[in-house]
Amino acid sequence: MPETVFGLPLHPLVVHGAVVLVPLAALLSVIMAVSQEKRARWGILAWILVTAAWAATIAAKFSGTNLKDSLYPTVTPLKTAQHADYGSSSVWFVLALWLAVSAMLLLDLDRRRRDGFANPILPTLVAVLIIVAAMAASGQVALTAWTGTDARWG
Amino acid sequence: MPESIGGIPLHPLVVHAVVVLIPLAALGVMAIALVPKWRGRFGVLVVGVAAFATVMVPVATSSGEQLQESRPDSELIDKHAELGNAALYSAIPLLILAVALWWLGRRADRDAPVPRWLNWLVPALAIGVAVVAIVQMVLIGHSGAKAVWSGV
Repeated sequence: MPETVFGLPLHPLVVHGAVVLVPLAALLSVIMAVSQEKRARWGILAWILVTAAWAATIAAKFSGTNLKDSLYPTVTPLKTAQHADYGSSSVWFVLALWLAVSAMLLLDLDRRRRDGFANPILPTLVAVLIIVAAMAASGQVALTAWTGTDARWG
Repeated sequence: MPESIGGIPLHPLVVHAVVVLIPLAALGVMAIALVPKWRGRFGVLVVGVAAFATVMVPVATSSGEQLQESRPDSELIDKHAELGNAALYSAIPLLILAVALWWLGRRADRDAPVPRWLNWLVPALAIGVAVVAIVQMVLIGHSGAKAVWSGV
C-alpha cells in the first residue's frame, strides 16, 4: 500500500471512510436484522456498505502502520501505540459484523426458496449477533478514532 | 458551539461526516437519478444521508473558523476556509434534488401523473449538482489535509 497520496499521508484520508462507514453500515445492519420487510428492501445495500466499511477499516489499519513507522522509526509514543492496538481490533469487530450480515442474507435466501425458515431460532440468533457486532464494531471504531485524534491533536 | 471536545478540537472530528456523507449522498442521488425504479426503494435513505450531511456542513465551517482563529495565519488555511465556505452552495441543492427524486418515485409508484419535463429535468440537474458536490468536497478536503499534514 502506498504511504502517501498527492503528497500527503494516506492514513488521515482513509480513516474518514472507516469512521463514518462503520457506524452507518452498523445502523443499516440493525435495521435489516430486526425487520424482514426492510431486509428485502435494503439487505443488499447493508451488505455492500458493511463490505465497504470493512475494506476501509483494513486500509486504515495498514496505512496507519505505515504512518506510525515513518513518524516514529524507533520508539512509538504511548498514545499512538494504544491507538494502533484499538485499530487492529476494529478490523476483527467489523469482520464479525460482515459475517453476521452475510449469514442473515443467506438465511433469507433459503427462506424464500423453501417458503419459511428451516429453523426459526436461527434468524433470531443471527439478528442478535448482528446487533451485538454492530454495537461492538461502532464502539471500537469510536475508541480508535478518539485515541487517534488525541494522538494527533491532543 | 464548543471549540473543543475532551481537549481535542471539534473541527477534525465533524469534517469526517461531511467528507464521507456528501460524496455518498451524491452517489446515491446519481443512482436514483439514473435508475427510476430505485427511487421508491432507496429514496428515503438518500434523502436521510443528504439531510444529515447538509446539516453537518455549517457545523464543519463554523468549528473550522474557531480552529483557524486559534492558529497562526496561514495561506493554506485561508485557501481551505474559502473553499469550505462554498460547500453549502452545492449541499443544499443536492438535498432539494434528492427530495425531488424521492417525490418523483412516490408519484410513479402510485401512478400519479407529473409534468413530463420534470422527469428529465430533475435527474439531469441532480447528476450535475452531484458531480459539482463531489469535486468541491475533494478540493476542500485536500486543501484542509494539506494545511494539517504538509511536511509530515
